[in-house]
Amino acid sequence: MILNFLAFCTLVATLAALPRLILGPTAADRIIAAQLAGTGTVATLIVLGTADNAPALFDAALVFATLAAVSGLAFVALQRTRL
Amino acid sequence: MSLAFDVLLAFGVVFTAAAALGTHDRVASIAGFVVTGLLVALSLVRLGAPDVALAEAAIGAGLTGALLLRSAWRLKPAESRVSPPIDRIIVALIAVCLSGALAWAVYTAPGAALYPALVSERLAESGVTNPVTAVLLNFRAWDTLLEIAVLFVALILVRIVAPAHPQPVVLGELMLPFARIVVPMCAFLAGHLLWQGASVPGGAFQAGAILAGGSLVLMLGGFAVPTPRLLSWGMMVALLGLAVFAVAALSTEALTGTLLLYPDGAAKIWILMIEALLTLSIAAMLCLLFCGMPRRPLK
Amino acid sequence: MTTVLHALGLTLTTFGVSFLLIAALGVWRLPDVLSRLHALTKADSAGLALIALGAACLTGRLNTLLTLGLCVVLVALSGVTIGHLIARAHLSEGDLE
Repeated sequence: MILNFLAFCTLVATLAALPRLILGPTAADRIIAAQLAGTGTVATLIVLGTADNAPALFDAALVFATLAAVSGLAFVALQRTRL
Repeated sequence: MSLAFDVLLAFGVVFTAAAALGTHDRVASIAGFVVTGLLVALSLVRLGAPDVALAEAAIGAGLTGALLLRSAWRLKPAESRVSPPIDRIIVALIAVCLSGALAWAVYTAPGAALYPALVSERLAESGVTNPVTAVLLNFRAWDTLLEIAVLFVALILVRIVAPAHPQPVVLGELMLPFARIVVPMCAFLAGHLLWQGASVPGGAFQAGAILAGGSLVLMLGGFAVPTPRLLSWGMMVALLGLAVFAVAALSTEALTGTLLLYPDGAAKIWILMIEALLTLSIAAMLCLLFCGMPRRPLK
Repeated sequence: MTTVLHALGLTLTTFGVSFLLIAALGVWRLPDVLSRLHALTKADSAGLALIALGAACLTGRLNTLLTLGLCVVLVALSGVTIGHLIARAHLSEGDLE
């Protein structure tokens, strides 16, 4: 019961990255928003896995965490301006 | 409470997709695309399809984002064009009709799903206990073979178009500790997903995509430079999966008389061998799609 | 014993989720790129670690500990590295494009 509410809260935290994604004046803001969404999704999966007693969701959370790392690195490494 | 969660998730997916399409900044669109992919994967988990959710997260959110970014820096800034009102009205009408048709199809669909009962009847003789893997690699292995052929066609197209190699920025000394942990973790996770795909959500596509993600870290960090020699090795590994799958299909024809009917009792071994080579091959194909091919000089 | 563990798990998870919510608020409302980055890294390291600890207490199975531990390590590591790279690019040339 409380865990379902906590899952709802983590989803709200994930979606709260959207204003910064749309508004953020610099590209760095958008990358920060995407990273927050990734972390929020991992947290949502962990809380959902605990609430439904489904440890398979923890494996899914691990995959999501790896992909968030790879995609964040792609955002930072493939910039337009060259040093 | 779960209803509120699902409603918020549905709105979130639609809103993020609209934000990704509506902004005029390219990085914002790609970031919106990645977040939409993550939220769609989350809703697939809620719908009880964790295999598809893993594949969507790995390929849709991770690798496609990198592919889009790799090309985005070569395009000039997006110019905002305002289309005439009549175009927008027609598009709105088509979208409304399509949504109506989808809603009607979902509403009038029969309540019980037919497929799971049929699959669980024959699950014992398929060699694995995960119904998704049984369908992908035994009952409908023909479709999987054709999917690998589709990836192969995409690779051929990339070879023809011959895009420029992506040039990642030099990232500094923190990349080495990062890569030292993330790349072995990707390799370990890929093997884990491949092995456990026989009984719980996992499988060859997901494992291959994770492995491609790890190789992407190597390439972006500057540890693996795409020399022509490395690229031709990658091409060979990429073709290996399709070749082995085709050879396996033909040999099942020779052994049992029917295409892709595995010999009795040996189904698990055949599936495992095909899946292992498919993982390596999918990883190589996705990496080659990212870094392009060696350019041949015109003679 | 199990009720103590259950209560501990719920408390830790609640703290972790509140960290995450406050970090999301920070990313939305703080005035500058660097301050938003600071808020983000708190979510990555502290928030997720507390949630994972709470989940470990609640599920009470040993093999999930490895999975949750790897999650925490990965997210913290990527948060640290990508945060550093964003800050470095922001400070050196004024903007990432």
